[in-house]
Amino acid sequence: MLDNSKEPISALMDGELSEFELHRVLKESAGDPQVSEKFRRYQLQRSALQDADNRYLGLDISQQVAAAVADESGPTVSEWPRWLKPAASLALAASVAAVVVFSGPLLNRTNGEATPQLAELGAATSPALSAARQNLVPVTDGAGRNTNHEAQRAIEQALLQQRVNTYMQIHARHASMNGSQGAMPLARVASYRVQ
Amino acid sequence: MMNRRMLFPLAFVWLLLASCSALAGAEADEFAKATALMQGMTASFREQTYDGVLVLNRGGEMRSVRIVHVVKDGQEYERLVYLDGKPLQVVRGAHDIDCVHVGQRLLLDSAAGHLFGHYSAGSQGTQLHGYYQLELLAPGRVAGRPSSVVLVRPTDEHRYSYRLHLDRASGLLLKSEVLGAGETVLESAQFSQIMVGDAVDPQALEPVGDDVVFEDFHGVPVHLSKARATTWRLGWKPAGFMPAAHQRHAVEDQPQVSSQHFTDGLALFSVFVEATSKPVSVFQSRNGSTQAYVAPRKLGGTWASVSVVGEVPLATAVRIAEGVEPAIEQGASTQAGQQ
Repeated sequence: MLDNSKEPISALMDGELSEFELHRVLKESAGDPQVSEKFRRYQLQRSALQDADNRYLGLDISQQVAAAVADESGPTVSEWPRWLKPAASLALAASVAAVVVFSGPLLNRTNGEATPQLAELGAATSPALSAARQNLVPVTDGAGRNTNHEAQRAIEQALLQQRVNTYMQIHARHASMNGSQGAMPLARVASYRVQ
Repeated sequence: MMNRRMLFPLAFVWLLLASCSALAGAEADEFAKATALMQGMTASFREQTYDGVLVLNRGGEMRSVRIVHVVKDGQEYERLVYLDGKPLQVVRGAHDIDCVHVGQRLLLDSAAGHLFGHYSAGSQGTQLHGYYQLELLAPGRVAGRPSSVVLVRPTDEHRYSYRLHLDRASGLLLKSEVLGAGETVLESAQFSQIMVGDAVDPQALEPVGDDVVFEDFHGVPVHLSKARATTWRLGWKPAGFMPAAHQRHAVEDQPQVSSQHFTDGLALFSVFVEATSKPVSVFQSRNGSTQAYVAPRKLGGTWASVSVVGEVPLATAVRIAEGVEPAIEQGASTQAGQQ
């Protein structure tokens, strides 16, 4: 059990965690439900939403990230020889990125290719979206890139997805209150929850 | 002889005019019928007692939710049971069935032409543009019940189309499909079985188990909120969308996230603004017909994350997010106006 886990988790939430710290927190989080709970609580606090808005929330990204790390076939980071560390960084980044890939459809995983969603835009020339397309980062590119940065970026994206899920739940509640289709929109909450 | 020669052209013209008139009349009838069906849909959801299992298909993922809705002594009560994954029940009530919310009111007022336009009083019976056009399709059958089918098409690019199956007996919406570009089904929801009226056991409202969330039918009505609940506003939104509610989400009395919610009667979108220490990444996600777009924006010298969530196309969500701007102080604007 971690007594001083608050700071690393806080840093993780802010995307300022080192690779080693990231791995340690995820590993300890996986083995300690209290740390997982603390992580989830931090996420909720950070999302700055009322209790009423979080009642359906069951998403815990730390579990998914930890599971992805656990799926790695290699030894733990602390046991890897120095020459393997770049590969370890890449594997970690790829694992975290995999979480993002399976967390939902994301703009940033496409590297400029139009997805069906982007295709909806047609000839739209939004400056913000153009900028977003230019900033796309391939999630599995390990050719000399700062993989730690990519891992943290992947976490940021996963957290954004979680935040969006919370917003979608709030939106669904408003849709059921102010829309014309009764409780049908509230049924959508089912698809934002972890099973 | 001359009279007989003239008779055929005259008869032809008369028949042509009569056909046009009948066609226009039929279109007007169809429009009126479709409008009435749409209005009946929203009224039925409040006023009818029903108990059914709704199957939701969002992006190929199927979920089932049991919905029990009981009207008793002018109050509506509701219980939703999520049948897949982690157990969850949502219980809502009591809510006055005469309390009509913004989107429902827009639909009920649609005869005035806001949503669907209206027919002019000419012999040609032209339908004037609203934000949607209605078309009656061939009758259908859902959950063993005959249904009327209405195709609702937007007249601009800021909304989706809907194909709605409405119960012929009760007016309830039995099946809803949200259609994107090329009439692709983005999302569908339909009752696989449903009981309506006296067949429903009121005891079905009682929650069973511990995983119960008690909800309120109401958010924060706009007219009851403070004059300016948020420090930002929309510089642009699609025509026809009206404010439905706004809300502040706070932790330890520090307002950090605020939201505004809009509807045109059928589609809804919400905007969330959160102060951030640095610009967030641009992010986009879609679940069924619900689009989400997140972008950084500088408001009043500080960074904020602007998120647009709703049943609108991505390009529309992007444009809404780009238009978010600091709200002008009411006093300042009044003074400016007086000078």
